[in-house]
Amino acid sequence: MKKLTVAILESSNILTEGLGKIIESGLEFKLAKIYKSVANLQSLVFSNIDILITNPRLFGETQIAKLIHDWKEENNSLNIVALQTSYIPTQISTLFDDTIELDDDIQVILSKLKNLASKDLSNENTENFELSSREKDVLVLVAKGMQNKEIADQLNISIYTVMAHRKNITKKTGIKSIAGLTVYALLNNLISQNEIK
Amino acid sequence: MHTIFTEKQKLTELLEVNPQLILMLPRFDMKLGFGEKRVGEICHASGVPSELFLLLCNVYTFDSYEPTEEEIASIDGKMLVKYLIASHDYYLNHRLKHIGKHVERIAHESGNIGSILINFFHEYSNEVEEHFKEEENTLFPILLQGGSFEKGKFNLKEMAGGHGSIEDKLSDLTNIIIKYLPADIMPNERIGVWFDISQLSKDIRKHAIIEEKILIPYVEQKRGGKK
Repeated sequence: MKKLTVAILESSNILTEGLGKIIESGLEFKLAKIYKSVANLQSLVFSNIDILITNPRLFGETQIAKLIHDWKEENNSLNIVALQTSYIPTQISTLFDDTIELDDDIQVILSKLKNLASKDLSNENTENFELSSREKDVLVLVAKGMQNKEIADQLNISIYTVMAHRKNITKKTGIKSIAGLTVYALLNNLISQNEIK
Repeated sequence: MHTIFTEKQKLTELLEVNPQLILMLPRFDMKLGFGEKRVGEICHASGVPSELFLLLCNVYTFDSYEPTEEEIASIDGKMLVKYLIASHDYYLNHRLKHIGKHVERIAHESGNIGSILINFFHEYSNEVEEHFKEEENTLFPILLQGGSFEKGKFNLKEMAGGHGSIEDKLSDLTNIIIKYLPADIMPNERIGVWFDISQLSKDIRKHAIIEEKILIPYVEQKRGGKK
């Protein structure tokens, strides 16, 4: 079975060290990376992370809502788990896929993560091949004949993110050539015939 | 260790191992009705050098087969060109024409989508034709004249690498026809064309391997070992 990669975004060393040990004790998981601040997290999208554990206390209320939205848009199979070190209002905790508490048992933590994983596996055949809305944005611009650099500028993302999206689009659709992707976009009504160069 | 074909074997034995090898015959103007004759006899009767014929059969059949320098040196360049041009002709004027007719019939029943499909197919056919023409116009004449490769203006690796994009588009065409066209449009016709395309893409992949393992080393040898 493929191991699930987990990343932690948390500023406290005590917490990252402890949580990292717990995750590595579970055979199903691989600890991919520990991020100390959100500024370092830009590479999250293209590093194939399955689960991100983060502490809502690091962010403002509107900021975390926006971040979760953006992360899910970049990587639609990503599970985001809250690490609860202080009270989290319900409107925040419901944004997360699950919550880990400071006094949870190791077994409880691992089984929470495992449940997220099995949820993913059952969805694999249906959802994983759907393009995310961000991937659709990129696909449309590719079909319009734009270069990676132009797409990056237009969507205000890095050229590497564009490349990662294009890789995922090909993985999900099985289509490699630009002409083929254009046909795919037309067949799925993402673009109309007169929008193509 | 793996087996390789030899001229003492019957042609039917080769075909039993790899039925695709039947495609070799028309490319060398070799006729059917060969009965139980051995490869050496059939080649001799058809005026085809058996070394080249066997080398092509071996590379075509065994993925791990690597021709030796001697084998490459023994190649009759004119016959190699004859084979490659006949392969190009077969892809363009037989297989792609045939697949094109299927695609047109499917497109005809596909309403608005039809023209998109036709355009994609034409774009693909044109790309294949251009790639073949480039090889035939730049590289092959030099091989035929046995002339100097120093003067030839072509990038060998790039030329042979052009197959990658051809293979990608062919696989895209299959995906579009099988996976993404609406379900109710001519299912039987689509299944038929799927077999045609997968057969063609297998053959083109082998063609690329032949250029990579036989044609390029041959040209490089003639250039005097220059890479």
